[in-house]
Amino acid sequence: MGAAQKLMGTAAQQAKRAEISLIKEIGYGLLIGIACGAVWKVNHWNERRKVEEFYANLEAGKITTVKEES
Amino acid sequence: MTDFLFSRAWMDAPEAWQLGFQDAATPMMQGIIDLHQDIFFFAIIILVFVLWMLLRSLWHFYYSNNPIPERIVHGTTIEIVWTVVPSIILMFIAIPSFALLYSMDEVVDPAITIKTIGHQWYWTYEVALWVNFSLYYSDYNQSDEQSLAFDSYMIPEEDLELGQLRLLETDNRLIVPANTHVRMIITSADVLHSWAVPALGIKCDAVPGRLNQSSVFIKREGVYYGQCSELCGVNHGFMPIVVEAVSLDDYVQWVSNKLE
Repeated sequence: MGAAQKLMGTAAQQAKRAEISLIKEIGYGLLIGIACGAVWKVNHWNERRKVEEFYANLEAGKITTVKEES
Repeated sequence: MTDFLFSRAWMDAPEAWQLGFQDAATPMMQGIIDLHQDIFFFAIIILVFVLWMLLRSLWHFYYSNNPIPERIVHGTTIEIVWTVVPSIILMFIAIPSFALLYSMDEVVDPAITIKTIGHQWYWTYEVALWVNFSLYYSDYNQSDEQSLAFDSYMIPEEDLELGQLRLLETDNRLIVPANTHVRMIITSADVLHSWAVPALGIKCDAVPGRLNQSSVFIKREGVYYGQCSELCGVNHGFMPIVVEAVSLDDYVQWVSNKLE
């Protein structure tokens, strides 16, 4: 195989490379990444809501962190 | 945190196999946790994206599929993109980070000041109290300063009672009022120490010859555990910190008892 042929690869390899789109792969990767990030963010918001509910109930006197002495 | 398995159980001490933070008891610690969640959001996106690109590269260009690798040495557009995008991500991270950093330096008017002195290998606490007559009773403020001081040693393992935590319990706890601004002044009498209580989001070096200041506002009553966080000798791991936040009435009662 000549040097140029070596660089370009076989016909099969060239055909394969023509099928692969870098932009599409980056797009799919970002989509999956953002989906996973969104799952994390929803978890974060849920956690924050629970904390706020806890302190709201504490302020309202519905719950207490003090154990009653028996 | 165990809230997805059981009813909510607040963690103010380390747990076996713990993965995340202890539960926040101060706005500062809540801010730190929120910042961590914000940064972790970007970290997850980057991790998943990089893993995807790596695995897809392996998939498409495995040796049997692609025996002759490409020899690409330049790609101006993509080089610009992968420089600019991380900078933008860093900017999104910097905004909440600086907001939290500057909020920590906000000046608040503390109700009490507690001086914490690190020794080898125990802590001393000095509580300075200001007794102010309200303006209702006089036309001017009068103040009468008193202080009380006590040492706080770790309870050795052989002296622990059932239910007490190993290497974390102390003979005298630092009692502070909940929902009150407290100023902490931290120093050392000998070598470097560090006064750290994870649930309160506070870690402050105790430096001999220097007074470091921090402020704390504990939002719920409870008992919070910490440990010395600067190597200070053979018993560095055996000088824990226990802070007990109580109601204002209980705090006043405690102070009266101590002063008697």
